[in-house]
Amino acid sequence: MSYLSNKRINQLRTRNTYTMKILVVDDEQDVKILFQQRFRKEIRNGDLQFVFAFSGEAAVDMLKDLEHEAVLILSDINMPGMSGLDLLKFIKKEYVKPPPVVMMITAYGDEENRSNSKRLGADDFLTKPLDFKSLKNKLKDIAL
Amino acid sequence: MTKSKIAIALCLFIINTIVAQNQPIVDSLKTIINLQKQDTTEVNALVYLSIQQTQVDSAFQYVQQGLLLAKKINYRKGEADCYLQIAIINYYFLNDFSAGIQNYFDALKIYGDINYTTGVAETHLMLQGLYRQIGDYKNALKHAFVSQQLSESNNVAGRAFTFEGHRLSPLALAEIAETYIQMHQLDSAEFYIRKSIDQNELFKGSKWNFPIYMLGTIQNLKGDYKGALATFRSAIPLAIQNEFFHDTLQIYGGMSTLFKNTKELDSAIYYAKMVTESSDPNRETHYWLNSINNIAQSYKLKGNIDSTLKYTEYFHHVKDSIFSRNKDRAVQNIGFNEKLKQQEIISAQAKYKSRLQLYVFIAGLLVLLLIIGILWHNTREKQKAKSKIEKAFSELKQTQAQLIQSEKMASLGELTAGIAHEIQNPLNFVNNFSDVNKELLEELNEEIQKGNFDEVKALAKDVTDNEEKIIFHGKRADAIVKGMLQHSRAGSGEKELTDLNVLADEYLRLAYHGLRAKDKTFNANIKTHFDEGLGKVNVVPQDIGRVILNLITNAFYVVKEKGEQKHEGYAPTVTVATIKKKDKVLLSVKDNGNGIPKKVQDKIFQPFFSTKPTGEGTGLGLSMSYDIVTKGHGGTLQMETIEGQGTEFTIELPVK
Repeated sequence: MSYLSNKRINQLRTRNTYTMKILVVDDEQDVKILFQQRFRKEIRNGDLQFVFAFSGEAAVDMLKDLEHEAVLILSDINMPGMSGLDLLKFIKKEYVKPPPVVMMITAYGDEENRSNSKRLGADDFLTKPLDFKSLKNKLKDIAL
Repeated sequence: MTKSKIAIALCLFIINTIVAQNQPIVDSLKTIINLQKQDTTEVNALVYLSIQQTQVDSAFQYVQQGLLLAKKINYRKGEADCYLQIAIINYYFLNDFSAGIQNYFDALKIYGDINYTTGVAETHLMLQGLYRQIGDYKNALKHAFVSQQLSESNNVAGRAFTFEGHRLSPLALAEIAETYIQMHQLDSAEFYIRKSIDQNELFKGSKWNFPIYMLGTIQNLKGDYKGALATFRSAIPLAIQNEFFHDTLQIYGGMSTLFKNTKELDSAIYYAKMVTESSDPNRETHYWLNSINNIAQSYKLKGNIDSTLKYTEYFHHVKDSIFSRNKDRAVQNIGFNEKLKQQEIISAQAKYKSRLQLYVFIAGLLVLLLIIGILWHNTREKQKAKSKIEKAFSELKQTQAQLIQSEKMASLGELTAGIAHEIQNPLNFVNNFSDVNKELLEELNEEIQKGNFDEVKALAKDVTDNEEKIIFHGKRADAIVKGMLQHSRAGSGEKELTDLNVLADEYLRLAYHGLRAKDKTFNANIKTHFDEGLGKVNVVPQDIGRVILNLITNAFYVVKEKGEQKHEGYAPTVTVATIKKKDKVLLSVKDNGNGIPKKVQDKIFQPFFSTKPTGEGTGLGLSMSYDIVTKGHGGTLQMETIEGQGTEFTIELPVK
């Protein structure tokens, strides 16, 4: 499933000495509650830290505040205004060093969005409904 | 000129004879008239009484009286008889040829109308005499022949006041011969006079002398003196037997001319003196003059100068007085000919006028027929066209219904992807929150066993919150499905109080995701300015929803189109807004596309007008939207556009 190389994982792990935040971008506000519920233990234990943005534009603003923090971005693709792909393009352009991990989520597991995401440098591609168990493992792999 | 008097004399003679013979009848006629029965008998009596008169005035008076009565009691034959008598008076007594001809024709017309052959034949015979006298030989012959043929085939005999009891055919033949004599066609004259003689008309039991005298005259003119003499001699006893004294003088006159020609001068003088001594120069002027002339010339040839001088003077004296009469007549004839010409012109004009009227009438009739034809044709065409139109109309209605349905289905197709997305999202939440709750409930059981009730309370609260989310998203999915069903439903729904903000928002999302589903690269800013105080509006939700969907889909389409043109710094934006006004609500859909070109601005609400490529739009979206808003809801749908800057559609709905 994951095409993150071991090298890249190791690279991220070294950065885990700093505070790591996961930015979830989705226009559906209930996503926030869902993540908080799903990762309640991890949040409680301090294993994972979540921040939420409800649009691409909000995500861009938020990233400025999180400039020196290690960030993993989980973004929905279908959003009004700035789409997930626009956000991906922006991140890959602005944040060259060190580039944050960007995982794209979409409701439709279609090939066009997948290949566009890959071309724009997405690290992973997830489809809704999210498989939280596998997501949890992926996040633990990266964050821990 | 001398010869022309012969035939006139014939008629005059007959008439005069009647006058002379019927004097006793006058009293009985007057008795009839005095009865004042006002019937046909009285008319006939008046005509006969007029004939008996020797004075023109009284003759006229009686016949006019007869004419009035005939007209009054509508006695046609009597009326014609009166005209005939008036003609005779005008012609013979007053020498008024014009009036005479007019009266003859009046009589002729009536006799013709009532099919009275005798009257017709008589009148034609009288007319021929008049025409000959005025030198119109052609008409004279024409009327004579008509009379002759009519009389011969019907064996017509003249009535008492015309040609008393005599067959008209031999009379007409004699008249024809007379005309030919005047035309100097002596062979024709001889031919017809012999025919007349062959018909053997009797007067008082013996052969009629007049045509025999005529034959003698013709022979004389031809130079057959021997034959002429024999003929004249055979005529004399007949004339005497017939008691035609005047005829006898005629014959003697002819014989004197004959002897003059044969230079038997004593005989010529003898017969001429018989004539001059026995006749009145004022009445039988022509015989008399002829005879005097014969005497004078005979004496001259004999060398008897005194007698020659005496008779020559006598001749000239009488001739001068006749000449002055003839001059009067000639003058009158000129006037008459003028009058006749005028009458011909008038009758030609009347004929022309009536022909013209006939043509106009026929033309009018044709035009009328044509119009009727055209109208009939039109009516038929109209009926045909009507049934065609009715058929076409029902087909059109059917097609329209199908088109409306296909437009609905087309917009549904555009929505499908959006709907899938819209359903997928709440469904995901339902599934996810259910999963979370299952985990939370397991944890909750664990905490109960541990007796950690604070944690149990917290977990129970989370479960409850999540359950609310599940219910919310379940309802959301439900609403979307219901909306979809409503949208595709064919029948027109009922009006119900609807929150336009919710409706607009719902369709906005559906449209956006629908477009996104088709084109993954598409993106646009969506701005909403919903007036929270809008309140509910009484509309048919699926209809107004369709309008909103249509406007939003169009807006997305145009911003997408402009986006593809790679304008620097262009941010495709669609704005949906609602505004509450005093007695109406406004819902506007605004885009920042290229605007609508001026030349198509008028057409955008027309059915089947589309700027989209073939196959992408039905061209019915805006026209249907227009109908829904205006006809369905009594509102307005207005468009404002600025080229290069965008378009705003505003739905205005009244609020009761």
